[in-house]
Amino acid sequence: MQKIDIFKIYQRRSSLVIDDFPDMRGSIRRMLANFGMATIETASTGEEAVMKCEHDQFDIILCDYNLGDGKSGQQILEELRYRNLLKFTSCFVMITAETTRKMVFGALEYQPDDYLTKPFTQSVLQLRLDRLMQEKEALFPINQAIDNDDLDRAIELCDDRIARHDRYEEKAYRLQARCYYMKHKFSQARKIYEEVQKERPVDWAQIGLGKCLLEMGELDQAEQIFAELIANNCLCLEVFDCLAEVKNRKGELAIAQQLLEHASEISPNAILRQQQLARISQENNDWDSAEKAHRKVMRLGGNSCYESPELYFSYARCINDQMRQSESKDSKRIKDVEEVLDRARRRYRDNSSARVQADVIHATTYANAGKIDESKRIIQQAEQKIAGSEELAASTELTLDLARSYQATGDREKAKEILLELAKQQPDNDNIWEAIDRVSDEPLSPKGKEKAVELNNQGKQLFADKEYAKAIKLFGEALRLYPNNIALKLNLLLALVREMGVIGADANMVTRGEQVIRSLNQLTDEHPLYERFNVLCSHVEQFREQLAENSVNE
Amino acid sequence: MSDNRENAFSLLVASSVHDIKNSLSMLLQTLEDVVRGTPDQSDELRRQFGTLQGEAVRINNDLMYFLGLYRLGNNQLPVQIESVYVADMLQEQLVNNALLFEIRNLALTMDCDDSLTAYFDQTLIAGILNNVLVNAARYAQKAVTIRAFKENNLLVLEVRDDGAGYPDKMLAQGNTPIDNSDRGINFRTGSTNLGLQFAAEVAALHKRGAICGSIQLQNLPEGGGCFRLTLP
Repeated sequence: MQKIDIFKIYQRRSSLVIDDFPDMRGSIRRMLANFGMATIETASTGEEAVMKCEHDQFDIILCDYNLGDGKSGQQILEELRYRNLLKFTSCFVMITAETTRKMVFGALEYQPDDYLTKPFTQSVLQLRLDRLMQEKEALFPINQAIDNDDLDRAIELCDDRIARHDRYEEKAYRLQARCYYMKHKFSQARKIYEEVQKERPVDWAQIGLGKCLLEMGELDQAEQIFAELIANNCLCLEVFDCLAEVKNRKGELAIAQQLLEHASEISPNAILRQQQLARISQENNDWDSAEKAHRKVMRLGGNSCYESPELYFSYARCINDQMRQSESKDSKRIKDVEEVLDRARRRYRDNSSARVQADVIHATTYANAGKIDESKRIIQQAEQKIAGSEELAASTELTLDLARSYQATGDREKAKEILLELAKQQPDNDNIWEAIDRVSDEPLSPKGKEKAVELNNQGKQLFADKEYAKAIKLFGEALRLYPNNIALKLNLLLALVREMGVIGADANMVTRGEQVIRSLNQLTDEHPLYERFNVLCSHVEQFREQLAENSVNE
Repeated sequence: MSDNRENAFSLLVASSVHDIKNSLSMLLQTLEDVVRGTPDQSDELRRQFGTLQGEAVRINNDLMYFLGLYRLGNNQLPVQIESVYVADMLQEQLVNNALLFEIRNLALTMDCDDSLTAYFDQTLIAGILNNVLVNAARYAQKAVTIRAFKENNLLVLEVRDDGAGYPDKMLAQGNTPIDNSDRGINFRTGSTNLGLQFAAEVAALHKRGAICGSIQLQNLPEGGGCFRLTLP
């Protein structure tokens, strides 16, 4: 393209310069003005930049990565993309002081169009922007189709571009793979990622390939790719998130948590990672880590694109779970929940659904603390409000919380009824089925039933092999997913009893057994497994007596 | 605990570097504005401009080695291999150093096929070339050339100048494989040493199978020095 054409292109373009250093803003602004750029806006903070993008569409955004204490350039980019404030046809250039891209390397779908390293002069900036404008011109139809959500068209246009075999071929492949991925056509995306790496592996395509394999359930292959990327010093932190997800799906939750913690140390302000860390720590019963992550999520989430009442509610639920599990009635914990719910109520004053939901979660806390009457009173009030409003009745999250509260008061039948009704409306919502399995005595979801059969077979094999310690681990982990499952609890009890039969009475195991027995105290003699339960109880009792005798003898 | 301190230090380094780079950006851009806005430059003035520009760029390069070697020492220097249009990167180095060469009345040219692509870390390799060019500008008489081509499926990047050539001591050092047990900095020879060491280490981080990247210093039969970077 001729120089004069480029000048004309700049005359029709608008730009935004984001830098916290006033002289730098002025300097870049002057450079852009010299290119003939018609409109040049500046912003000194992330907040200001996002606000400007809400009002105007910019063709070119030049953003410094390090903006002092506020949002980083990467966070701005993520927010703009997440909220569709940045078109694919526009360019986003990240300016960094680092000579490596390590510090700024975000997730694959949140990467800037180009990086520019400080210091740079007008001539270098111009060279880069010229090249970028040419690329954006060449790929304009594809990017426009993606902006319009017409992914099929974008995929077609990529084929046309690839057929030209020019310098934009690789970019076209990359966009095409991304479109397939967005359409959940993982095997097609995978093919492209493999194709572009025929000559040699490239990080972006390796990450893309690993993510496809992960989605396709090829966990071992995905794990190998991500582990290799980490071993090769690829510091794109998304790789840690991906490997953590592989481990999560493989049920290796402790390792998943470690990986997320490691990534959080390097880059502490990624809210999605903190949310995942909170979830996984919670499943690991690592309440300290879960709470820390939840608090961070609330702090980072305020005034961000991820802001929602859920940030506060998931923290409150985490404390509720902790109270239930540890059978703690600590008043300090009740205060913690109340405080965070109050914050949510204040913040969402005009959101009636959020306010009722806060009440319902509060009811769970009361129930956990043993104040069953108070809890029931709040639930009743909430139900009246829900009955009077279609909007409230239609809220999935609110209904789930209502079921949790009923469960906490001990009314598990009512909880199940509510959940099954909800599942009827949304049979494909896995979250609902998961919640149903959590509250039920036995798995009711198709997935849960499958899992139960699998667990049962594994357990049987372990008992047959006299691997009782492994059986304890297996059933213990399964109980985290299905905390009310009676069969699992009885199997865990059996494994504890058998193991102690081999190694002798053990204080920790007796305590654990007694915990399980307490959680089964609602089992009545009408239950088909009651007889078995009674026998196991007497065994645990015997081991407890043995312990007492041993300590006397010593 | 030591991890935390390491992280805190790493953050401190990052923010200091950011600050210094801002200053350097302002310095270099303002200098470019001044040079371009000053008509009728006397030889003396040009020489002074040359010194200002050369030293500012040198501070930047030293900062890059300092940071790079620090990260290497911590095993934190990742290499981001991607497919690169070599001519684009070279052209950028030309533009980047245009003023320096103009002030010193030196010709800077490149010789590279437009369609040549290769796999390497663009930012790191560009940083190395930039330093070699700045160095060449100090010693060249009239001209410096950058060449890029493929040889035995390897990418070769060459910077040739028509100066007095590299001293024997540097020739020896540049062609010895890096010895990690002796990573001290030789203060007598100054920053050139640091630059070479960094270049050699970065080249070695580029691997394909058993082949590693490397650097070589040569003196040309027709006179002048040649810096050669080979990447797999």
